[in-house]
Amino acid sequence: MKKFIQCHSHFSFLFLGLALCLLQCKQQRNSDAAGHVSFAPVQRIPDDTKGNPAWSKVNILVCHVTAEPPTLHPTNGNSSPWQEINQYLHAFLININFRNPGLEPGILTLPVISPDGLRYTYKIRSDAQWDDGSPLTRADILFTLKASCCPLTNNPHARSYWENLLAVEADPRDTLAITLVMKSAYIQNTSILAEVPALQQTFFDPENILARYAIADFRQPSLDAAPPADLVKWAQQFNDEKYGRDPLFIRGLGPYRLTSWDAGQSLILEKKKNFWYRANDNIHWQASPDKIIFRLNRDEVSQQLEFKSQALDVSGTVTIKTLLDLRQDSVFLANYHAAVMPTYNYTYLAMNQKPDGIRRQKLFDEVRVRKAMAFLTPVDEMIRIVYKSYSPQCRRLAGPVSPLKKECDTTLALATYDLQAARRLLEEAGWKDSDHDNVRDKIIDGKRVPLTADLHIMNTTADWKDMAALIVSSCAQAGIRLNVISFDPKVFVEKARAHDFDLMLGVWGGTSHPEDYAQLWHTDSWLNNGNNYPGFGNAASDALIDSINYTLDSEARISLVRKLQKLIYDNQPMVFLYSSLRRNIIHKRFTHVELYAERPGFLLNTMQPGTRMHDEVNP
Amino acid sequence: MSVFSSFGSVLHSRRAKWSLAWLASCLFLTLTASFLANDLPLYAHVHGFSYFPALNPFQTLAAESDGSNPEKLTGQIDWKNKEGFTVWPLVTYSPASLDLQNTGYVSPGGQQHFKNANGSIVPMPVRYRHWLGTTQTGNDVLSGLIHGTRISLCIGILSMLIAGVIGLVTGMVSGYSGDKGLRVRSGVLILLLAGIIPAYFYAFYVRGEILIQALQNSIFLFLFQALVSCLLFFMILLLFYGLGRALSKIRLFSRYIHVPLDLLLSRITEVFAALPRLVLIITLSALARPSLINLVLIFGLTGWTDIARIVRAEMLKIRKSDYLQVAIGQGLPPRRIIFVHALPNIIQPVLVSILFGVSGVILAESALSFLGIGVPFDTVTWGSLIAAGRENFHAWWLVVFPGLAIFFTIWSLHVLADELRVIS
Amino acid sequence: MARYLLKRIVYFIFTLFLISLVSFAVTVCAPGDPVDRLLSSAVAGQEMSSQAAAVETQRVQLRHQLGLDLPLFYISLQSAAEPDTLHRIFPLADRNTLKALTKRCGNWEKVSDYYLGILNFQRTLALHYIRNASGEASRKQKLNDLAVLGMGLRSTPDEAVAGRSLRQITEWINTDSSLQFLSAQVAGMQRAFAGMTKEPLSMNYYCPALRFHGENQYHRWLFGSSGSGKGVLRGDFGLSYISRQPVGSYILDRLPWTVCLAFISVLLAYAISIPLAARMAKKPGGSLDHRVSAFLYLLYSMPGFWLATLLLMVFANPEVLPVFPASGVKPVAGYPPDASFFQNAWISLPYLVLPTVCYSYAFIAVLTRLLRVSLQQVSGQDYIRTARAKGLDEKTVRLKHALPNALLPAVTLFAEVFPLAIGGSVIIESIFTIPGMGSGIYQSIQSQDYPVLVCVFTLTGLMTMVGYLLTDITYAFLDPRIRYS
Repeated sequence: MKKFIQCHSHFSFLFLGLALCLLQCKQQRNSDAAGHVSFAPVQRIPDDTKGNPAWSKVNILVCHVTAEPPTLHPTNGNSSPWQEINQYLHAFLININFRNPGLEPGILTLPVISPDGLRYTYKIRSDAQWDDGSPLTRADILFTLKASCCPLTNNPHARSYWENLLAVEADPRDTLAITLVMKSAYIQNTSILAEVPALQQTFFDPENILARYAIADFRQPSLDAAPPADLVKWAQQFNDEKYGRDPLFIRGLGPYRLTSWDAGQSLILEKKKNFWYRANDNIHWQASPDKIIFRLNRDEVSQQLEFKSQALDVSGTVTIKTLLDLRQDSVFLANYHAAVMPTYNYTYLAMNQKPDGIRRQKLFDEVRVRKAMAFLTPVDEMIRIVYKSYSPQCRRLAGPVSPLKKECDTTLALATYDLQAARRLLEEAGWKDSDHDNVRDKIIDGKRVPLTADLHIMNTTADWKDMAALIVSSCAQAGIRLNVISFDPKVFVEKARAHDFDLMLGVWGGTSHPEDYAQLWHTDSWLNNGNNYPGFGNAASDALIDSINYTLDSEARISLVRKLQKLIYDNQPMVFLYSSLRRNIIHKRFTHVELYAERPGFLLNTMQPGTRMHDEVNP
Repeated sequence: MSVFSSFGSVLHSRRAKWSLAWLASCLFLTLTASFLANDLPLYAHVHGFSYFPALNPFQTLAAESDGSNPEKLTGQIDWKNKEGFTVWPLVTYSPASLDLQNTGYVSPGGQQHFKNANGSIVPMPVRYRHWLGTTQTGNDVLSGLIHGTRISLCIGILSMLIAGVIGLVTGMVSGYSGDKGLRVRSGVLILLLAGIIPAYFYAFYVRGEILIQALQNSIFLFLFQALVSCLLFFMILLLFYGLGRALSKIRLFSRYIHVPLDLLLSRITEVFAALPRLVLIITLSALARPSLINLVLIFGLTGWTDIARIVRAEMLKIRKSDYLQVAIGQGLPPRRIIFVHALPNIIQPVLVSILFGVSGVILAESALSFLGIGVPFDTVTWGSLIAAGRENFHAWWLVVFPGLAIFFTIWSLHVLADELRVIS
Repeated sequence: MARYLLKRIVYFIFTLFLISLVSFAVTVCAPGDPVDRLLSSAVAGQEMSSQAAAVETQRVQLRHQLGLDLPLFYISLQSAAEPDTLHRIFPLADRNTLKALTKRCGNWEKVSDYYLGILNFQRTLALHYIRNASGEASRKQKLNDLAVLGMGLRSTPDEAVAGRSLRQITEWINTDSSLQFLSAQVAGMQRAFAGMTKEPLSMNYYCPALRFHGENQYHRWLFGSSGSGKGVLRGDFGLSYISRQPVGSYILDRLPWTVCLAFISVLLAYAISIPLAARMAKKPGGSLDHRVSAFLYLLYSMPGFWLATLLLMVFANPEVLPVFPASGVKPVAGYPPDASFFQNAWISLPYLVLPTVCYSYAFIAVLTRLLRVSLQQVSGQDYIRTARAKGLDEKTVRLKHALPNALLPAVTLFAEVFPLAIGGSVIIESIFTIPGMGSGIYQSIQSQDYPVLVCVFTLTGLMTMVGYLLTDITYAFLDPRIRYS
């Protein structure tokens, strides 16, 4: 046995111990100054003044991503990586204003709206040119709109938005003006053009097939039943995946072009040589780095190592753990800016308030039970677990409107953790522990139903599991038993839409432009298996949402939105947890860096590489 | 040499003694986990009454003398801050309990905090210390290790038992009967094959709804219903067998046909072996609700191919051996030949294979925990601790201690396997 | 020998057929509706919107295109009471409800009438709702409630519950004059329901019916059809649900990395294990034997993902030993434009070292122990003693006589390599960001991209069978005893 122990100490443990010692010793502990972040939509990162001669002077920006887009097809793609990459390859018709919440001109100017709110007249830029030298014309814009509205185009995610467009008028007197006729005076009538790439008609439709059809033709049900052959042929060719994957077939008006896409590894974008936009004011069309490389890396440990070896320059998708670990290293702090930014997203715990009684029991249909859940959710603990030392920057919400927006009603009180109040509410609602098994129960429809619920979470990160563990343990003290089940995000969403859940922990993304509350809070959205997962709503709230959607005046709208928030607050369909923080890492050799609350959080094309020393040498 | 004497001789080796000691202590932990690590005391004497909270957390506490505390169950009291005489288990936490004062990976030697009766945060008293540190949400690692022993070993042993039984039966049938061993009359064969259709129909198709309902209710109900279905299946087949016997009285159907069992079973074994196991496991886990029984079944149903192949090879060797030929020549019935003569010699390689298989399953389970699938939510196993520790590499206590536990278990199993093999 | 080969090849084809069945079964048993997934959930389930009709036609078209409205296999076993067109009913939940109802009633026509009645009711309600979309809010509430009850009717096979819902609906229709437009449909439903429930319990359901189908999903999958694809036998595995690329090209893009890594790891493992085992067997029970055994045990008991992390933190860490890169298979900027294949391979080499170690370490541990035990066994055989007695020196005895015979069990292990490699690759590839089959598989499982999974299963099965075939042939070549058995 002695020999055996000796063997161990010689080989195995020594090696292990040595390895671990090396790792521990090399880390230098620094005080973690998380830094103050003002709660504003934009933050300018101060340029680094010291510089470091050892930094790379190459004008290439390497951006870390954790997911690659399934496709880059200009009309058929719909994912955040799609938006993140396509914003450099294409010029959008209307741009989202990252600095001030709202919209700003893109290829089209902001519209002149007719008094009845149905006609939107835009002007097209005259200086835009395609890669082959031909100018952007109105025909291209017409083609873009028709291609998006065509029922044979494979873009079902956008179809409900494009339904609002009735017709397009091309004024023969002014070739740079275009008028969109909308179905109703809807607040998002201009937003539908945001992030729609301008498409070159001669490239995507060389035979000019779509010119034969008007948008009104596309709305005829006869077209669905018996689509004409030429349209089918065009659609088959247009929907082909090569327009979304093959660099030779990806063409846009943006400052960069895609030169290579190694599936599963990286995408490389290169600055165009004779880009048509020469000015400085539109941040979306700057092209400071010569090359932008999006490098895929899903593993946290290897991400940390790549930052330590300075192989990555920018990231908006590291986890809080990785960020805090990296901040412990003084070498990292000397080379990178690390900051968190607020976002328009929010995390929530939704409760099914309209269960059918068969598949899902009537546990949360009473508002008192839902308010009890709000008292039982330890939100501050959850924020501390997820954001650790960044928790002071994380804002809580009392309603579905982000605190970054003017419409947010800040007078609504946040829910506190109060076990006694929760217990009292549950007793009042009739849930008592009659069989002394530490789980409350109630007689519903003649059957004794225990207060046992399923809590659905996504299996993407461990943070969801940790948050769920906190909720489970606090509910157990009040006599509610929860089973946590984790799902793949797709299956998670399917179950949510089918109302096959009791409780679910999820997150909603948001943007700065005016939100259509019907998507999440209208009863139609519950009936149609849409995004109103909890089942909130009644006739009064529906009417309020409809009037918000058709009130174009933003000031008047603010008070209506506040009313809606109060309705939602009183009904408590969800426990609103917090507004997510985005974690950004940017190499200090880049100057003119701005961080935005609007996704994706930064614009890579505006980041200028090179230290001050570099600027002095090459003015 | 008989199985038992070979076991006896194993005990003489020193390495084997240590490995048996380790496995025995794991078994001990499995049985007594709830008494070794629990967040409720074993015995409490409060206000003149005795309670056993760990055994019965649903006992109602007698009201306080001043009537202040409402009726509470023993499982709801904060015993660490309660006055009175308490007897605690060795580790004063259970694996699922969250210690909110010590979240965020507190190391074993690090500063630990405790919330006392007044609600203020004080340094942790020695009695309630986390001896091996905590995880992200404040779960105690030592108690996770102790309770995890039960789960990891159960998954490993149970699944390999299932795999062993399936592999043994398949290998023995296939090795013993070969392609010419099983002869049936053609009438019987025809009717048996025909009978599969109604048997399947009545046993499984018609009862489909009942089975699906049972699956959604509880796994045990499902197993019971599945058993009933299987019994029905075999009874109908038996009926057709009887009919077949009757049919084979007719001249036309009385010829003997060789059923190529070896061929069929070997091909089926190959199919199972050819499917990538981890991918199959991940796919099945994605389809089924995460639960321990599902995990055991999945590992068991995909891990038997090695054993089947070994058993078949051994069986073929034995069939050609002298003493079996003598036994056959003596006219002993096949059952006796198999059980008395062949089986003892096959058991040893099978046991060796099973022991290797258990270690494989324990590692595979930790890989599944790393991928985030397989084990249900609240369950702590060795693998899930290591997987959690990987995310925060500086939390070495999450990796080293479960890693050592896995290492010792695997080492013990391999040493035993080696000793058994050396003996044979 | 030729006969043996022929036999093996016939078995090979038979097993391949079985594997194709299993792979096909995986697609079929998968949960979720591929049509809903392909059409993207923005569109799914919008019965009460104006697009309902268009969406429904799209669904039906897509279903037909994918062949999902065909029966599963050449033969299907059903009850005699069920129609042979049951496979055309979607969604699947409806199909299950109808099956359950048929079980009780035994008469398919009555059940079908009832189902059509419910559909009719829902359609009329939806049309009315859309036409009066800007109507009074409380009316819309009533319509909503009716729609909820309608959905409940469609999903419950329990006659008591259905009866209750129907009574509720009838009550509402009778009391509210604005809902009279539904009276005909509701009456129709009531009639059909009554007809169905009053049917005496018949034994019809308990008669099995065996049906044959020429056109079925398996046939399409295997042989392709005129509308879509050329079938698996011609290499067309269909389109991925997520990226809409042909699955074959998706896998082929990723396969080389996995195969390359697996191949190198196996060669490395054999190259290390054979001399190591030979050395260890020279002095069985010696100090080298014990120490290396203990180290191998330790190595084997480390989970792969943890060892990968340890290697990364030690050998790819700029603060410790920055020898190897931390992720990927080539530099950030890609390969130089005019480099040859060998130059590219040389550039990629440092990226592959750590993953190869992670792939092969467990294999080395197992192989070394296996070889050592096998060598020990062989050394005890008579012919070795004879060789020594003949006067040959130790080295020749060991290398020329003992080793080749001891290698035989190790050869069988070679066939296991492919499933192990594909399986183990999932973890290693996601840690090192290698664009191989493993990470592709894992993502496909997560996003339920079943065409890719089916292709993976089939290909792995095929490669394993090839591995077995090669092993058997090698065995037969090396060991004459097997040839003539």
